Amino acid sequence: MNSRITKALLAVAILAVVLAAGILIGRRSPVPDQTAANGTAPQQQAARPATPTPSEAGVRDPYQRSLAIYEFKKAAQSGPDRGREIFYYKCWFCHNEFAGPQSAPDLKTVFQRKQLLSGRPTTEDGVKEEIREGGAGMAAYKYTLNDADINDLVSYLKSDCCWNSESPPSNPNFRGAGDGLTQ
Amino acid sequence: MAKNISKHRNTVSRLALAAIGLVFAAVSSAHAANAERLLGGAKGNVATDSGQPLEGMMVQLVSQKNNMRTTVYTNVDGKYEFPRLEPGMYTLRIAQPREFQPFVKKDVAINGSPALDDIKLARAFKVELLPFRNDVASQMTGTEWLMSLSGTYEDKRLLTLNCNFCHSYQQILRNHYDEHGWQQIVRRMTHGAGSPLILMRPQGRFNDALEQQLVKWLASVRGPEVPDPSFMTLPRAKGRQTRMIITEYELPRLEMATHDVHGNGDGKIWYSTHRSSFVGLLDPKTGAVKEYHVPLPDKEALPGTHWIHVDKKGIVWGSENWAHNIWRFDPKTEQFSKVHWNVREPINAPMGGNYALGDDGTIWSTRNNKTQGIDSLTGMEVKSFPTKKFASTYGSAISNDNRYFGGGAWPRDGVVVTDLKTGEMWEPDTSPNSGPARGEFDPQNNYWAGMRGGGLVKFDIGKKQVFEYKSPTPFTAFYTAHPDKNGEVWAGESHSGRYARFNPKTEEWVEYVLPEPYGFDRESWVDNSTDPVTVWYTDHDGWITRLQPLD
Repeated sequence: MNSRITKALLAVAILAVVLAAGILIGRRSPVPDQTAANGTAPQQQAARPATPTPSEAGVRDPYQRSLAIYEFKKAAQSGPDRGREIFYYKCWFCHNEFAGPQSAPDLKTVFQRKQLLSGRPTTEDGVKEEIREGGAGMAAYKYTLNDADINDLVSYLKSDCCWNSESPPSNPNFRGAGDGLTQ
Repeated sequence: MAKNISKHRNTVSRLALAAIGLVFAAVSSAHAANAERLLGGAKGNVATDSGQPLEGMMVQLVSQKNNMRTTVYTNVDGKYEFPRLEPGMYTLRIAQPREFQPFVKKDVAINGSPALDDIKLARAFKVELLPFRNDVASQMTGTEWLMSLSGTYEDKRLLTLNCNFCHSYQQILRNHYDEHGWQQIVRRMTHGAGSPLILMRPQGRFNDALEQQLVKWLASVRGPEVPDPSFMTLPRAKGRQTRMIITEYELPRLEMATHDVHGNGDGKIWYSTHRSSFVGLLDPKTGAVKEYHVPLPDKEALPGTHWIHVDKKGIVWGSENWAHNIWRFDPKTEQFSKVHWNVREPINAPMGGNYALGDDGTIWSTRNNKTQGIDSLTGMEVKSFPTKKFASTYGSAISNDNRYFGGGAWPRDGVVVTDLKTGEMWEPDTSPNSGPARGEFDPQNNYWAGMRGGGLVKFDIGKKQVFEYKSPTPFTAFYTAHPDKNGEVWAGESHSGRYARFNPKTEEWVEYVLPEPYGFDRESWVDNSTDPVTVWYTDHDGWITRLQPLD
């Protein structure tokens, strides 16, 4: 019995040592190296002297994603494509393609109507005034959208309105098309 | 003789103990080695322009080939080290420099493990509170916005409890409106159902008095004449928080409201989108995405999915939240099929969105006062267990052994756990405004859920009792929670720009600071095949994030 216990303990000990050795050997296995796969030797560069490195972009970082979101500039810096982004965040949730007659009017044909619900004319200036001053069921956006925002928004309303959930805009930062898009 | 046997026994015992100790040490060491294996790429230092090392700075390399963003963190000595990246040209930048001037350096050649130039950061502001500027305000998390605005905790809590699940707080608080404007917006947001807010309900999310209180507070802090705030900020990452690699992947389209992710078992990641009919499959090695178009709903419904899940056979399942269908996609044939889901809500109101798929093909949820199993191919109920307290759960999960169903009862405060074998059911309350939502079972069959009120809740299957763990960071909301193979729990902290890791044994929180100030995680997926585990989520603003902890 004692002999059996001794043998069992020894077996556990040997197994443990073998396992430990295996793991330790495993640690020494080569680090996966993408450069090797490309046939290019890793290149070591010496650290340069520690000198201040000013931003090449001045005070704004064009890679700051949250800033593009904040300024509605994910798709474009200005124009109808930027207007579409403003439309999506400021207008679409009420003025959308699923809204019935009891909800906010579809804006696809806004410039073809005789007048707006407020009575304002459906001219470019009339629509801008409607956005700035709001209406019975709509906030006045003059405190939060500036002239450039409203110009971009109206350029979208005039040219390419309105939102199509079946065709979300392309992401200009997406480069990994890979197999391509499937429709 | 007896003495000899005893001595022999002692020697053997010591040898065995030493060997076992060696195994533990080796396993622990191997664990660390696995983590360190993730590194070995470009390295460098970050310090102030006066030479003070900066800890917790997020150093990022953006691939010029595919815009994949890899972020690592400086340690207490200001040192950072990237993983080995594909050779090529990159842009080196600091994510969220905040009080420091932005740092962007284009055309950095990466090949192997170069030592990069030291990064010296000059302070942009020599004041404690950061001034309001677009580039600064946009780096602020929802938590920081709320910390920086005046008002009572009660006022702010009205906003965080009722506006935490659709968009960032920044999207609200960056604006100025007069009281009438805030009234219109709050009314539309709290009375409208679904994403297109067209189904207006007389009863909003809260009563008229509280609605007015929220409107008045918003008008008082973000009215036309009210100055913009200066910002007080949360601390940068420290210590263990810096032991993380984050990779962000761009997706082909904007404004899709990306929602869930799930791995396909072959290293690729499926994602769902909330407001379009495109779903996609990301190849993390290349950043390539293959999009698939879910056939359009046959009713006047907003296209868009919610839940996405890959079963053990590789079949992809999803829910059409607005059109009320469950779809099935076979990647081999690239064919979709759909089953209509019978719910009481009108089209374009949420169908409940989240489901749990059992190994036998039964889809589970709690709806209409019962935990019900629906045949995934016919849409017919196959089994149900009536609830006594909670009419429905927001989340749906099934334990690994398929025995238990679990779900958070948001918008109510509690959880539902059902023993699908015996029919026994537990519906414990959780604390007021905790709002447990989505979650998952751990390896011991304890159910975990993220709490909208900020934190985690566990239903202990042994004790039949709930335990709550509040988030260390205020004004955050948890949408979901996922235990890993080791029992640690992972969850995005919406609005605090952090991703939480919670160890139930030690009750230690590690809050990893994210390169973007949102953390809007609606459903994570933990890849347990790696060591340490790898965590995936898609931020609702439209990119996929991979988290690789170094310990």
